[in-house]
Amino acid sequence: MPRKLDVKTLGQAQGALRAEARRLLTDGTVSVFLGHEEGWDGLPVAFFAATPEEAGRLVWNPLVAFNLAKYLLDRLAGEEKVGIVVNGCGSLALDRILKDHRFPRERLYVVGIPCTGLLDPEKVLALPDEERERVLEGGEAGEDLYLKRCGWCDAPNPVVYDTLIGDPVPDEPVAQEYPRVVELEAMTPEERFEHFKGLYEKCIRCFACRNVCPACNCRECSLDQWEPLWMGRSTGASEQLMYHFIRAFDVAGRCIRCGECERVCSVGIPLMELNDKFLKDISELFGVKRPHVPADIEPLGQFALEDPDLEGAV
Amino acid sequence: MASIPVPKATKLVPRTGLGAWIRALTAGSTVMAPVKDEGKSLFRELEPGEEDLIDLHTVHTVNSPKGAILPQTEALLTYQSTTDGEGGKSLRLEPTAGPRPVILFGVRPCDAAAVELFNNVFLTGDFVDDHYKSRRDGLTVVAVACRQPAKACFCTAFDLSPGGERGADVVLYDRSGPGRGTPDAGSGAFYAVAYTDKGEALLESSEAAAAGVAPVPAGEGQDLGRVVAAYRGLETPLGAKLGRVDVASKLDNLFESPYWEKVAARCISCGTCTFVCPTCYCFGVADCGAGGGGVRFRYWDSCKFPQFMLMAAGHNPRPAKKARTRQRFMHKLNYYHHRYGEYLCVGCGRCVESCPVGLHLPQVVGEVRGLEQ
Amino acid sequence: MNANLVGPGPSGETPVVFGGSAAAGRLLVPEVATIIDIRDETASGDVKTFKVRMDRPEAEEAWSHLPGQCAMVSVFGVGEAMISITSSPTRGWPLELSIKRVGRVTGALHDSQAGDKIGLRGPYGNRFPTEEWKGKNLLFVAGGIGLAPVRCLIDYCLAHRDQFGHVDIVYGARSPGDLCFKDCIFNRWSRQKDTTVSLTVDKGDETWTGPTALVPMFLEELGPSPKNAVAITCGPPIMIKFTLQSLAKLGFTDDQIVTTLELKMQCGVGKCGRCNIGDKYVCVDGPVFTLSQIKELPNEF
Ligand SMILES: Cc1cc2nc3c(=O)[nH]c(=O)nc-3n(C[C@H](O)[C@H](O)[C@H](O)COP(=O)(O)OP(=O)(O)OC[C@H]3O[C@@H](n4cnc5c(N)ncnc54)[C@H](O)[C@@H]3O)c2cc1C
Ligand code: SF4
Ligand code: SF4
Ligand code: SF4
Ligand code: FES
Repeated sequence: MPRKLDVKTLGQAQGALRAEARRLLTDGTVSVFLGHEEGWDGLPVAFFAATPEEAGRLVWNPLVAFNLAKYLLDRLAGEEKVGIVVNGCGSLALDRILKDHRFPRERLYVVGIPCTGLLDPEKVLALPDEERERVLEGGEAGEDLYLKRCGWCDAPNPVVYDTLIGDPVPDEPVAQEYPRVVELEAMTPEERFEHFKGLYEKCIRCFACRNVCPACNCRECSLDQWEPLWMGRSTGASEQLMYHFIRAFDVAGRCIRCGECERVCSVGIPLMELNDKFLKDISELFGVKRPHVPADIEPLGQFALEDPDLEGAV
Repeated sequence: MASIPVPKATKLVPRTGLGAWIRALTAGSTVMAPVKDEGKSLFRELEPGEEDLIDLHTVHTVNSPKGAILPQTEALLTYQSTTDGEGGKSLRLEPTAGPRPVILFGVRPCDAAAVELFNNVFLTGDFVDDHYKSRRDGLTVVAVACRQPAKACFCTAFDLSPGGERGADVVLYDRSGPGRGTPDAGSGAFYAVAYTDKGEALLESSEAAAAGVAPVPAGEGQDLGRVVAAYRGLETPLGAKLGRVDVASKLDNLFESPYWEKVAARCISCGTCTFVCPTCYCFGVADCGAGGGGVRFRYWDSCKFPQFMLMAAGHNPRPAKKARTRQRFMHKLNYYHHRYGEYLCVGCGRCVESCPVGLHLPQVVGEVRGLEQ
Repeated sequence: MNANLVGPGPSGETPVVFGGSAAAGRLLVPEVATIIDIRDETASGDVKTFKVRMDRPEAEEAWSHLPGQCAMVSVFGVGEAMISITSSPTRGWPLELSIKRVGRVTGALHDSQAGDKIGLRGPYGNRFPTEEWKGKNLLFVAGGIGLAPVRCLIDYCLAHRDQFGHVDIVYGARSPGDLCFKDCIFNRWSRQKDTTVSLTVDKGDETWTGPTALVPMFLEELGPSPKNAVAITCGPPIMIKFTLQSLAKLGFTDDQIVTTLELKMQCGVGKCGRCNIGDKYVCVDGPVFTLSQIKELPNEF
């Protein structure tokens, strides 16, 4: 169950965020601050404030769904110090990029804001005008209006930050359930194959799912390579499966379950099915609930001498 | 406004007869139509018996119908090489067979107009693209006028309209005229207006008659004229906000503007905008199958992908998002305009709806207007 | 007349169906061709010249190219690459293509042998405007494999020797071993009437007795006069950049300088949207441009 959206606190957070970003840009702690501003249709869009005045355009509201951490990769070249605002899941994305050594922590200043849940911008935009206003002003919002990930979020408080705005919200563990995976597991291999083939047939290979994913952060994606050609450029079934299976395997153990891939997919492919299967297996096999809990275990990215599976293997 | 062509034929099609009419059409051609698929409306080939899945309610399918004339993957030829006993080599190239004719059913007027913009590229100049031409020649477009344009629609910013006939052989106009409320809560019948010979044939066929496509009742001619005019005069929400797009010559001087760096910053270099766009046509060519035999095909490519212009030896003329974003919008709003005298956009609004980070053409048009030269 | 010699076709022009590579009259379908000879151009073997013939005599007959034009060369299973035709049309078939090994297609070509089958389509692109040069002195400045398109042009001009004034050929490469078309530069061309060939290398070796200088510097030393002259220059981007500066110093105006551009290409016929600079597509509006034309284009590359 999503936490209850707290619009008043969000409003206060926005003021504090602007002030903090302004301070950081004024005293030279950072030369750019990654946040959101109000976009053309009223929805927040990513925004890179470069002056103290621009900090005044930053927004913080129930629609700031887009994870900003991935933009750090654009700024890898250079020395500048970068400020960034994160909520709970935003910080998991950031943590992923830091753990994968894709951006130096020293060049970052992180402003964290505890989260009371976010709404799905697309669904909110589709509401009739009055209803939308009511919800955005803090009126009761139906559970289905929340981002899907809020339903299973057990990390509403930032796990990485330098400044925390507002008080931490209570974070009880939330049972991670995978109903779709249970259905998948009940299928025969043939049924599963047909199922996935049918799903991915619709894919237009726009790469939005890959490009938005904080765990898809390789310097060069194997799927972009021509030599060797791992994935052909045609959109036949075998290439589609290749794309989606490679991607799922690549993020296995590092997927933060933000569901952004599924949210940005314009043709509506339920991409989390496969990711969830890996998450479920990992939690059952390694006792790691999600990649960050416990925080010091990288289920598929770590080598331990005392690994029980090593016995007799060497 | 461009002058309105004289209709070749007008008919009345009852909603209840649509399924039978489409079934009849499917017999001779592949029919592609908007179909409801897990909450999204997608353009795809209609399987026999799926007539009832056709979605004339949603204004825009997620994907555009451009795949009918430029499939995402299109085989160009097959090749087969052999070596005989003496080591003599031979190579056989077999151009792919002509495609089945396609009827695009239920496209919106913007998407129909987009086909004409492809014609500029593929059918004019010193080279005619025959693969394209054979698909285009076999294409019949049945458009449906929009009773209630979507929020992101701005076809009117390009002198198109929710009732326009550009690129369409037949346009279906809901008899009750445009209106608020659910777009398909119409009157239960469409005026079908054929603007081309192909369209006329479609309406005059015996199958059409059998499906209930009937003459417009005597005395209703004036209503028909009024209804069609109402659709043609309809404003679009975003079009009203944007006004006529007029930035082509201004952009002549803005190639070096710092604006491109700024607007590109949030782009994530996916290809969504280009792939859902009915007017983006850039493609690549590649082979599938090694050595002995295989297929050469073309495939949609995107100027937004960093590898789009990557050359041998690693040189990339457009390595930065700024250069690629500028290319996309300059192509649509300036370069294409120079070459063909019109914009490479029909205001369908798909980029508005699908870009994961809210970066789209109308926004750029608006912002470019505000830039200092 | 060859359809694509009339220049770029803006909209509105009656489309001309191109019949050059007419496997079945289909635009992107090549003609089958055979490699009949492969020759190393450079000591290191990174540039080879391929002699090729089309398998169908009618296709050879229908083919007609002019200096500056290119062919799209296919290795099936690998892909296509745009390559300048380096043999002059006055020499007929076989066609010669000089290719530097840089990647997949060019690599596969280098790995092939006489007798292997490839695909050819074209000719594509515009050409050098030789009819505008009648009575003028011609200065050719080339570096490395940049001599490939120019070689076709030089042979063509020398075949019509009486139409032009003095012909000056300035050519350089990294080392003596990297000089391409040795027969032309050491023998054939300098024997022609009123024609000089000046060679330079960046770095000499024990056999080299000629000058060692970078092409632009060497050019300035030679000091050719811009009077009633046209300069045609081809080579790697960095050489072009400095050569243009040197030509300007010598007094050549932008209208007097002609060069070729190279961008990534996929279709070669102005359809795939790949090779544009501003509103010009290098594959159909180029690759030959005067410097003043280039300066009209957005400064993208
Ligand atoms: C007008 C013109 C004239 C030229 N003349 C000559 C000449 O006379 N001699 C000469 O040696 N060279 C010439 N070139 C350069 C030559 O075209 C390139 O060197 C050649 O295309 C390289 O091809 P490759 O396959 O070896 O290189 P690669 O880079 O390995 O491959 C390029 C090809 O592979 C595919 N490819 C590889 N990577 C990608 C990617 N990321 N995205 C999409 N497709 C990809 C495409 O099919 C592409 O065409 C000319 C180029 C032009 C434009
Ligand atoms: S976002 Fe959707 S359509 Fe795009 S590549 Fe991913 S799965 Fe395919
Ligand atoms: S503009 Fe939007 S849809 Fe287009 S490439 Fe950038 S992020 Fe993707
Ligand atoms: S640029 Fe956007 S609005 Fe214009 S045709 Fe393409 S998707 Fe539609
Ligand atoms: S190579 Fe396709 S447009 Fe020039």
